[in-house]
Amino acid sequence: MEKTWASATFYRWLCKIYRQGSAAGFFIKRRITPLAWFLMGLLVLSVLMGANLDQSVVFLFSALLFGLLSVGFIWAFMRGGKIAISREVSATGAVGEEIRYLVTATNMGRSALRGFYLKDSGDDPRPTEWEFIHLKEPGEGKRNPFDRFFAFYRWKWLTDRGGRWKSLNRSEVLELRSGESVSTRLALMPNRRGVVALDDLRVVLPDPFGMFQRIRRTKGEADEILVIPRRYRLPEVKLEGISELKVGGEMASEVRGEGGEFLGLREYHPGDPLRRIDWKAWARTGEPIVREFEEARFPRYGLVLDTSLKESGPELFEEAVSVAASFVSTMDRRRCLLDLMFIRDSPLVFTAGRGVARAEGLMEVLARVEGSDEEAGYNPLRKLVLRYAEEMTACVVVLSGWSEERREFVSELRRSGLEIRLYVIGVGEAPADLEGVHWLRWDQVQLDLLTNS
Amino acid sequence: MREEEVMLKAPPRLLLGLGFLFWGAMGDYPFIGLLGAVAFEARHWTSLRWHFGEKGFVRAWQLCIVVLIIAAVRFFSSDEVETAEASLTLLSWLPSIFMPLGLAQQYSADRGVPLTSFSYFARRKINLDRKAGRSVLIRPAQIGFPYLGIILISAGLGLRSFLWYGLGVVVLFGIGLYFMRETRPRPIAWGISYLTSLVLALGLSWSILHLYNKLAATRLHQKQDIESGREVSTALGQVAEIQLSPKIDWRYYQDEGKRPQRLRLAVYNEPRGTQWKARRRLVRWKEKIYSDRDVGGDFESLLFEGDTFFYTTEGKEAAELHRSRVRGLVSDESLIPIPHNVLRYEEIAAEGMNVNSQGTTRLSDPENGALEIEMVSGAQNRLASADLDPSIRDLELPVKEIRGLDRFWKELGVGDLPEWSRDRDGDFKRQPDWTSRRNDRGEQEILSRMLRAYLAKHFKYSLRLNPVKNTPPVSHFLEEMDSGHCEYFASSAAFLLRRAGIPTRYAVGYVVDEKGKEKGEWILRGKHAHAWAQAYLGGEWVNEARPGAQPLWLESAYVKAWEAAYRGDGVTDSPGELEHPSYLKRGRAEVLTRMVFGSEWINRGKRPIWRCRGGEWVEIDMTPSDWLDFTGVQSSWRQRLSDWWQISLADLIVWFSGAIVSFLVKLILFGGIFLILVRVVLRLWTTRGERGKELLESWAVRSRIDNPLADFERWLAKRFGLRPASIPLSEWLREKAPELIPVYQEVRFDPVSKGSTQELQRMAERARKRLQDREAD
Repeated sequence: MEKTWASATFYRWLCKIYRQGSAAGFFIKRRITPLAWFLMGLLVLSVLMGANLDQSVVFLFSALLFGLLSVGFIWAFMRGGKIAISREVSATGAVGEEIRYLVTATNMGRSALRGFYLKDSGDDPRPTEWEFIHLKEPGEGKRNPFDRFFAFYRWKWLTDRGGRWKSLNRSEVLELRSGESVSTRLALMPNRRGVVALDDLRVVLPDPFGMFQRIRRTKGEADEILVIPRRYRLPEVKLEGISELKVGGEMASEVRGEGGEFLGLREYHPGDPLRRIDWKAWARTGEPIVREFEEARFPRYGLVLDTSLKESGPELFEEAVSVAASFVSTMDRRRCLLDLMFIRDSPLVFTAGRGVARAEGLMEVLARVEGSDEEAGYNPLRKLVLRYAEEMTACVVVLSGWSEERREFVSELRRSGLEIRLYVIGVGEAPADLEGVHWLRWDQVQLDLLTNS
Repeated sequence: MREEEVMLKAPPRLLLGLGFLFWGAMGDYPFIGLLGAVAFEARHWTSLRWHFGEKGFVRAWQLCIVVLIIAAVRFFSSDEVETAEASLTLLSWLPSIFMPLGLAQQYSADRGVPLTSFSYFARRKINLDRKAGRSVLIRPAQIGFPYLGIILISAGLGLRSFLWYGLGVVVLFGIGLYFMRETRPRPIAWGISYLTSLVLALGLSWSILHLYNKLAATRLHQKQDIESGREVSTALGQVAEIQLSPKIDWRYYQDEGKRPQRLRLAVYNEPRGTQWKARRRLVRWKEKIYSDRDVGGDFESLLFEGDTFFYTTEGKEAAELHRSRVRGLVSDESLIPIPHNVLRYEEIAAEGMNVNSQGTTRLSDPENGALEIEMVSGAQNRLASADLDPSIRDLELPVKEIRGLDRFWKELGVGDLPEWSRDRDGDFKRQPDWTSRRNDRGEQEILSRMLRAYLAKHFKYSLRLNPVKNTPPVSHFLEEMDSGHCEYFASSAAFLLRRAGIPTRYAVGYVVDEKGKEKGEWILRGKHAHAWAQAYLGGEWVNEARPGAQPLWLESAYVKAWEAAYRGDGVTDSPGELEHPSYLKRGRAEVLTRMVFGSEWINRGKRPIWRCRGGEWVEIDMTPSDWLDFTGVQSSWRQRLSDWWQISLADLIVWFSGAIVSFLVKLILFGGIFLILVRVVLRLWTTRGERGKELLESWAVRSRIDNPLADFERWLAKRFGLRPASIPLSEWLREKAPELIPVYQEVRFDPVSKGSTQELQRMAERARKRLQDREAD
């Protein structure tokens, strides 16, 4: 998506305004309940309708509403409480699956604390600047020019997706005497992969009417839950590489070698590897005898993940990670080795399959992988892939966007003779000149995976 | 579609019903309040429910808007033509107007009213989102508590009892607030905070009232329309600045003859503080007034509401001078601006026209919100109406003003003023000075001309004044100020002439100064509102007390009847007058006698009854002529638009009031309302459901299979209740009609079945009959 400098600057400014507005809205929403909004609306209505004191006594109702709102506000403002908490959380979770955890709250204050509850803040749902500038909500083109220009609905749509995770509930209403502890269950829903940092559990202290509430931080250690990426259903993918099948071993080993079950002995044929000669049998029989093993060969695939955020963005990168995770989980069911390759400061390779390592390891790697917008270029990644090219049957490359650099990178891989299956996460329809590429619209990935693959 | 949590909770049982009763009690419509309460609370006693869905609630809301528009048209164009009053009336009926939506919520099986129901644009956006495949968020809200809020606000509109309204609000809203919380409240904390809020609210209310009263005394005074023939408030000594409204009140048409300078709305004869009042008397002796009209009683006439008549001067057609018309928006009891020599009214589209003893003419129960009255004026230069000859009441003066008036006359060289004294009730009464040479018309005219010349020379017209409070306003004006508005000049003229022994009254109306676009059309705006004096010149005082006549002493039954009449139909000027401590002290009979007959009757006819006869009422306008410079209206687009609207509205209503048009409009309106109601009732009847069984019902409807067994099941369901979703059909039927099951199985599922649908139908019929017979046994 091409943006002129002026429009990009304008949208950056707009994004900033919306961000500040959302922050203010969140601040207010946490402290003022719908009941208070209702009463404030009623107050305004009563003042407007009963403004003529010669003709009505509605000002009595207005005064009562004002009194209630004032007392509620002051009451909530005056409330305080020191609460220490500790959590019992599971180590991992998955996107879209509810995670429940236990929170133990202890009243550290000198007086009893009544009528309060605990609530986790959840992750910041506001989109990044890049996301706001580059992503379009579905059907945005059909909106009127005003809406398109100010892109408020785009902002709303992006924030409606939620942050990395969201809190699902609040605790029941609690009462704690000084020094007393109580345990309560909370739940959260991870929306994206990565680490859920639980470090902002708040004490909510409402007024007796339930109109306003004071929000106070709790004391306690932060906890983390690792959320593995979302996975898509993949079609039957046949990777037909020209590489030969690789010999693998049953044992977990970093070194590949001849493995498989021992089948028997046979006469030596010219060309048999010398290391297969059974010296003892030769000595016993006087004829060269070689040991024969069951063939234990399996394909080795590469999975290259593009971690560059240049001319891309977090949203597209997340989809790229999800697509990569889908291949990891699918290939785990096959008898193959999988090398996950990407750049994080330096080129990295993680191998799994056939006893080398479990696929969960790769999932954890994918859960933690971060995008980078540094000017590293694709050379290190290209060298890394080419280093393993001879040993790989085929290579799945998942790019989080499309640019000239990426095009060059892919061309070089293809020139090396490596069988490549290329997936590109993009915004909108695929460019016309793309060939041999599975273009996945970032907001229709599942559909495109099933139809374009 | 995503659905969010329902906003707000539902009110507890009976709360809305109590709210309606409270609203009905406060607004003096208890029956409607009771109806509303029953309609809302019946939800808990009946199992009727509807699945309105988004569309149903939108329809309910649209119905509310239609009702609102009809009510607005009714209130704004008819009786309650005054915008502020009509708005208040409309707002006070909001609970009834929004009843369709409230009832839809009450009897709905849905979670709440979708907020999109209230906005066309929100619905449009939702539809666009749906078309574009975007996720749609529908936020429902329970409108029970907002409805309660509307009820409580509406109950307080119009002057109601502070105490009862306050108590009702505190109790009803307190109950509501207690149940409004999402979580269970802590009773002690809740109680303390509610009491604290009440104390704060009381203090605030007191402050508001105090501040309002303070501000009301000094605020910019918007000159009000003159609505009552009984009294009019002036801004004497009170208001720093007066604003005159550019709104068009009337249009006056006169094709021929010289236009009148002024059109009179009302005349008053008693100064009371900053007010002028029209003191009325019941006439006991038959008397013909000047126009030969025989008024129904003695002496001075008061014709009550409901008397329909035209002024007529039978046999005096030859004296007709010209015809004129007034057209404008009217309400019940609107005063009519009339020229001073009107003889007859024609084409009055109202129940009647009443006139008081000062000649103030007003409409009674007009048929429409605007009308046009044709008037025939005579050649006589006198007010040929019911304004009776003066009594000593037309010489009364506020005690505090006497010294100032005397000083003023002395300064003008008029020293031989009549004596004055207080009567036994403490009220000042001018004793008629029938020996005074000032009974001579020539002398009186000289006096008035002298006065006019002096005021014109030393005073100028201004709407921005700086009066000193707590001083006699007229004396202060005459002695300390050098400018004033028409109320000062008119009151000064009235007081000074009275002090000089000339019976004088205070008249209000319009100056005819702004020409309209049509030929002979004159525009009467709020800016043209004017006050002047009306003096009786050349009259002679005569004692009409009949020797030996017994004074009328009221029977207690008569007093009661009068009291009932005063309280019942609101005839009384101010109900508080009856409760005034000084009146109560004197005894109610005397009070009423005094109010009705005049204080001179109290003394059993021992005093003379003085009337001034043989003179002529003459308009005396002392306001400097430059005041007309203040009546101009800026020709802004806003003013032109406002003029156009008022003129069009009045013309339209007058046009609508034509017999055929009126009939057609009513036919269309009532026909439309009838059709809408029929459609709503039919729709509700055909889509009704049952509480607790809504889902099952809808499931049953959706998965309806047309076969004899399904028909039989529906028949059974009506008699024995719906089949629970968890019980298979075969098991359910086993008890009622076990023979049907194998046939049904065979018909539906056996590929080589020999059974037929007709056979199943016959068997179902037999089973139905058997069950009916069993029921009959």
